[in-house]
Amino acid sequence: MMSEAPSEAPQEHKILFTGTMGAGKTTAIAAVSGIKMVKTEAANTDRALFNKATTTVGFDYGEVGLEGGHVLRLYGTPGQQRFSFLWKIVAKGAIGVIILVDNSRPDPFEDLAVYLDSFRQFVDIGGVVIAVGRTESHQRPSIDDYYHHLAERDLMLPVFAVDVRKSEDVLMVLDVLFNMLEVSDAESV
Amino acid sequence: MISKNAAQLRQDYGQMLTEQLDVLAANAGILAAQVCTSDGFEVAATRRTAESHRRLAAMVSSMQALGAAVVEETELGTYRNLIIEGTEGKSIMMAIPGTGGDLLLTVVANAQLLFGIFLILCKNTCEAMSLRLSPAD
Repeated sequence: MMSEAPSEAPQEHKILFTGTMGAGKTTAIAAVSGIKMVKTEAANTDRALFNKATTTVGFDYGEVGLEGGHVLRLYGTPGQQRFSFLWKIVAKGAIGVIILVDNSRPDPFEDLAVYLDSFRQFVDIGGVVIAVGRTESHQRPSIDDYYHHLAERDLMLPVFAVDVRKSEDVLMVLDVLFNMLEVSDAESV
Repeated sequence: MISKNAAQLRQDYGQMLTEQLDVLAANAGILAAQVCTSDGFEVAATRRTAESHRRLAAMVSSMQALGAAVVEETELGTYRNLIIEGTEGKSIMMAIPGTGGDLLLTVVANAQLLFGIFLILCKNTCEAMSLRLSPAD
């Protein structure tokens, strides 16, 4: 069960899922959305980058209902950097970001750096959680390696191994992000 | 449906598509034109810089997908095109028939070109391209 949103009046909160193509952004939102998802997919002609039939080129959209009538609006970005113009547009009004990292890719740290840099404004307010996928088949880098890597960048962000096909994993990450934002809010009061 | 990637499409159809775009661009009021894949890769273009076309291809891909989502949400049938107007001109983004929506034509025109003429020119170009694309691709 997700934590209850901080305010008593029903509120809507916008959260982004970002990460490389094929990291599982669409799957993650589909795993938890309580409404029929909005998908903007196109045929993937770049099979050399990732061998899947379709790829998100606009954004994905889903919703998660919370206790008290609060709603989390979940937006998934396209992964490829040629769509970075859209990252900024979709990020407007968001309170936090979940960065999905595909551990099977050649250099997950390099991938992570792209999104940490592109969504720096969320890193600065403690509004980022890192969710690492495909760790069962690709155990390196380990979660500890991620923490060491972040420490080298003077960052303290939570990192979890997740299976985005499992709703409980995605809800857990959302819960962590939401609690981080609550703490951040409380500290800024 | 198109099964080739942008590089293969450029190799096989780049010249034909560019010729069609040049014919279109020869009309008064047409400022630029481009064909791209639905996932945002430029295949052929006329005028403007290569960098501008690469960026535009990605934007058109997103816009087209969002337009198609709106068409589906509002039960308007099958997505055909998207029109954008600015104070200095207009742009149209059309799915090229016979490609399953996988190839998109984008055309930019000035404000003086009448909208009806603009639309017919773009549709004619789409049809001419469609006739020359192999269904097997």
